[in-house]
Amino acid sequence: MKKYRVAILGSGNIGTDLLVKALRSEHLTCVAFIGRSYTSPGMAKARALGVTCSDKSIAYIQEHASEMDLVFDATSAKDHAVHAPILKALGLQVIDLTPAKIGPMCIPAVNLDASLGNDNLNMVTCGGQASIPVAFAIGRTHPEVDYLEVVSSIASKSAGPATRINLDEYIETTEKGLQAFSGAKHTKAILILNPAVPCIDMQTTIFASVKNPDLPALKAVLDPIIQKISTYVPGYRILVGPILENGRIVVMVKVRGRGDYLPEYAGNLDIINCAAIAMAEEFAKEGGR
Amino acid sequence: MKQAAIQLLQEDCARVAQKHLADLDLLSNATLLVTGGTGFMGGWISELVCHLNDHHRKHIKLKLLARDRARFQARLPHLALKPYVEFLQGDVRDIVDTPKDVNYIIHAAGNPDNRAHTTNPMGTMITIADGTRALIQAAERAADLRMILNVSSGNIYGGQPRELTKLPETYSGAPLCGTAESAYAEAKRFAETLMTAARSQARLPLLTVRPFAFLGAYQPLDAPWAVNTFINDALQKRPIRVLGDGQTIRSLMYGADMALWLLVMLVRGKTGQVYNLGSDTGITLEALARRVAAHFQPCPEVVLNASLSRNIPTSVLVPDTSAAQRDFNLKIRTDLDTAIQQTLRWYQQQ
Amino acid sequence: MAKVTKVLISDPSLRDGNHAVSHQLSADQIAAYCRSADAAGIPIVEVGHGNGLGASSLQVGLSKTDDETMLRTARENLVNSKLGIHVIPGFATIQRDLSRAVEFGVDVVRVASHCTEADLTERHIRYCRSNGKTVFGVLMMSHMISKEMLAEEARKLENYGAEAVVIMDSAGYYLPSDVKERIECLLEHLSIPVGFHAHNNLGMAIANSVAAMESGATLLDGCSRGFGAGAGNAQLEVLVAVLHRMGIETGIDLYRMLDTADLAERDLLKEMPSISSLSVVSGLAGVFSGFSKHVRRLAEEFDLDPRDIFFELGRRRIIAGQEDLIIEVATELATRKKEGL
Repeated sequence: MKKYRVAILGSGNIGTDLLVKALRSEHLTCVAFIGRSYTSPGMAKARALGVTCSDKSIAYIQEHASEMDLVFDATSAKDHAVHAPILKALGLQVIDLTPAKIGPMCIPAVNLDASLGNDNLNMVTCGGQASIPVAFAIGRTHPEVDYLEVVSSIASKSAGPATRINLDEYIETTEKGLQAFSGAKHTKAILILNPAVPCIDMQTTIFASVKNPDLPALKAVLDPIIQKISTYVPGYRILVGPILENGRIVVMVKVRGRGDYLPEYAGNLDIINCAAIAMAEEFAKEGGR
Repeated sequence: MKQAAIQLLQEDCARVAQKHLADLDLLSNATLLVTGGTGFMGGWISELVCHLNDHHRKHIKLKLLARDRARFQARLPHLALKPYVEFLQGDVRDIVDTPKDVNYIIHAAGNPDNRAHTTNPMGTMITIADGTRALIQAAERAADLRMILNVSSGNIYGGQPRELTKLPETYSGAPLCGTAESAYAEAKRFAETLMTAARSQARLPLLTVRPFAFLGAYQPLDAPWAVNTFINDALQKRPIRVLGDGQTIRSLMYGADMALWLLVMLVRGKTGQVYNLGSDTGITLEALARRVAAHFQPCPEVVLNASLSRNIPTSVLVPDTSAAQRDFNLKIRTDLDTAIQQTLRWYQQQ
Repeated sequence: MAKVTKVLISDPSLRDGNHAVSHQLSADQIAAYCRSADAAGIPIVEVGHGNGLGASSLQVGLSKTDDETMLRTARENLVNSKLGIHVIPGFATIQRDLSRAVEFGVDVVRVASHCTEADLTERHIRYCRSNGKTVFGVLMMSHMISKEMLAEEARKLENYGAEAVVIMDSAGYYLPSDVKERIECLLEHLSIPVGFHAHNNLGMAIANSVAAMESGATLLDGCSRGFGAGAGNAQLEVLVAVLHRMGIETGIDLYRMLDTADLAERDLLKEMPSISSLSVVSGLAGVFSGFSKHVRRLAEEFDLDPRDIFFELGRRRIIAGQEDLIIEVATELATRKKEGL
C-alpha cells in the first residue's frame, strides 16, 4: 500500500514528538520536517532519524507541495493564521495543532467521521482533547447543561515558555471547544501548573452542573467513548467517576504519555499529538482527500 | 505608515546627517547587510540609508535580514518599495552565506526586552550565541568585507559603580555569575569575545558597539523602558507614574542620532575598536517624566511612587562617549526635547 | 537596612474572607464594608472571589455575586481607599477578566502565581503596566521553596514590572524566624518594596506580620476579625493596633478600624475564624488554608478523618487551585479504608 505523505511544520517539542509518532505509523510516511532553524534539537533528532529537513518554513511547502498530502502545523496560532490560506491554495489537507481555530474543531473520539470532509482541522488544545469527550457524553445524556468546567493540572516542566506566554489563548480555545461539543450554556477552563518532583502526570477534572443528573445513562455513553480514545491514546484512563459530589457531576481523567520524544508525564502534549496522528491515519485510509 | 510619519523620520535623518556626509562617502555603492533588520536599529538604519540614497546619491544597497516578512511589511512598508532595499527572510542562526557582494555588516539581531530574557533565559543565551557563530562563519568567506559592526550591550559592564559618573569603554566590570538574570548580558559578552576571536584568528574586520538607552520611532509603546511608559501614560491622558523615588539616572539617545553614529563608526572605525553608543547626558527619571509631561496640554501630573520606596542607593547608567567624539567628531544632534517631540509626533501618526 | 516607619496596609477581607463563607458575600455586604473601610482610611481594599478575578468555579466555589457587581459596588463605595483585586493567571484571562476590571476602575492589581511559577505573570503584569495600573506581584504558598528560589522568582516579578512583591504564607506554616529570613533575602535581591500576607493556622499571623515588618517589609495584609479561610488571616484591627503601639504609621484611624471590624463580625462573618484542630493540622501539613471547607465536606461524604486528607494532600504537595484533587484523595482514602476493613 502506498503510504500517505505527511509533512510537519514546526520543529518544537510538539512537532518532534509528532514526527516520532508519524514514523511509527503503518499508514503514514513523513516526507519533510520543517522549521525555521536548523539549530533546534528537533531538527537534530529529525536528521538523526533520516528525515528530510528544511529551515525554510512555509516556503518549503510552497516549493514541494506536490510531494505531500497532508501538513501538520505545530507552529503558533499567529503563524498558522498566515499559513492556512497558503496551504488551502496549495490544496493540502491540514491538521492544525495551534489554537488558531481556523478550521472546525476535531476530537477523534467524538466527531471523527464528520471531520473527514474538512481540509483544515483544528485539534483544539491538550486540555480540550482530554476533557471534551467527557463533556460531549455529559451533553448527550443531559438536555440541559447549565455549566461545565474543566480543570487541568500539568507538570510545570511540561509547560515551556511558549505555553506559559499563551495561557490565555489555551483557556479561551478550550472553553470554546467545551461549549461547542457539550452544548453547555457556560463553560470555564482552568489550568494549574504543579512543580512537584517527580513530575505529576497530566490530570483533568470535568465538573458539570446539570438538571436531573443521570449517572447510569452518562456511564453508558461514556464507556464506549473512553474505549475509542484508548485506541489512539494508550495512556488515557478514568481516575474518578462519574460521581455526583456536592451537586456536581465529577469525572477525573489521567493521561500518561507514551514517552516518544517527550517524557511520559507530559500526557498533555501526547494526547493532542495522538489525536492528530489518528486523524491523519483516517485520511490515509480514505485514500487522501 | 502614513506619509507624514515617513516625512518626519526623513527630516530627522537629514538634520543629523548633514555634518557627516563626507564621512559617509565610504558607503557609496557599497552593500550593507543588517541582521535584525526589522527592529528599532534596523528601522532607523534603513531610514538613514534612504535619506543618503534619495538625497545624496550614495547608491547604497541595503539587505535586511529578519525572520518575519509580515513584520517587515507591517513596520517598514515604504521601504519595501525602494529598489535598493532587499528583505532577506531568515534566521541569522541559519545564515550560511552572506550576500556575495557584501561590504559592511551590522549585526543587530536580538531582543533587548528584559521581560523576555526573564521568562526565557536559556533561549536568550542560545539564540545570541548561535546567531553570532553562524554570522561569523558566513562572513569569514566574504571577499570584500570591510567591516562587521557587532551590536553588543551596555549591560556587559555589569552595572555602573557609584564612583564613576560615566562608564568608559575601558571599565572592566562584568555581569554576575551564578544568576539566570545575567543571561542576556553574559551572552552578549560571550558574543563580543567570539567576534574578537574571529578578528584575531580569521582577520575578520570587527568593530564593537555597546548601546545604552534610546527613544524614537520603531520602539513599541509598551516596551519596558521608562521613557516609553511615560510617553504611553501621557498619550493615554493619565498621570505619568514614576516607579520608586524617581532618582534613578539614565541617558537617552534619539533614533536618528543612533543610526548616524552606527554608520559613521561602521565606515570610519578601525578594526578592534570598541565604542559606547548613547547619550552621555544623564537625567533622573523624575526629570525625564516632567520633560515628557511638558509636551502635553493640559500637562499631565507626574506621580512619584515614593511612599513605599526603599532607601537604596540611586542607580546610574550613563555611558562615557568621549571616544566617539574624539575619533569621529560624533555629537548628540537631537536634544532631548526635540527627541521627545519627534517621538510623540511619530506615535500620534501611527 | 533603614528602619521601617510606615507600612502600607492592604485589606483582603472581601476577597480572602470569601473563602470562609463559600464565596457568598453579597453586594450589600461589600458596599457596607467598603464604606466603613474607606472611612477608617484603610489604604487598599481588595474585593473578589477567594481566588480572585475569574475564579468563580465549581472547582473552588461559585460566587454569589459576579465579578462585575463586586467591582462596581466596591468602586462606588470607595472614595479614598484604593480598589484592589487579586488575579491568578490560569484562572483569569486578560481579555475576559482583567480588561473589564481595568474598565471598572480598579486601582491596584495583585497578580499572583504559585511560588515557583512567576513567569506565568508576565503578560498580566505587562497589561496592567501599559494600562497605567499599580501592579504588585504575589507569590502564593511561599513556604514550599527555599528563600533563594523565592528571591529568584520575585526578581522575575520585578523584571516584568511589578511595583512590589508580596509573599503569602498560604498554609499558615511559617514561624517568625522563617519570615525574617525570607523577607531579608528578598530585600537583598529586590529593589522594590516587599510585603507579607499571613495566615493564622499556627497562631502566628500577627507575630509573623511584625517579624516581616521588623525585617523590612513595608506592605502587610490583614483582614477584619481575621476573616479568611480556616484559622483566618492576620487580624487587621489587632495588627493596626500593634503597629501603632510600635510607632509605625499606617494612616488608619484605629477607632474607625475597630468599628469596621465590628461591622465585619456583625454583617459578614458566619462564624469567627478560630484555630480549630483541623486548622493546626492544615498548617503543619503545609496545605493551602482555603481547602478547609472542601476537606471537611469530603471527609463527611466519604466518612473519613479530615486530618488524614490534609496530611495526604501535604504529602502529595498539592498547591492552591487544585481543589479537585481533594476529591481524588478522598476517593482513594475511602477505597483504601474499605479494603483495609
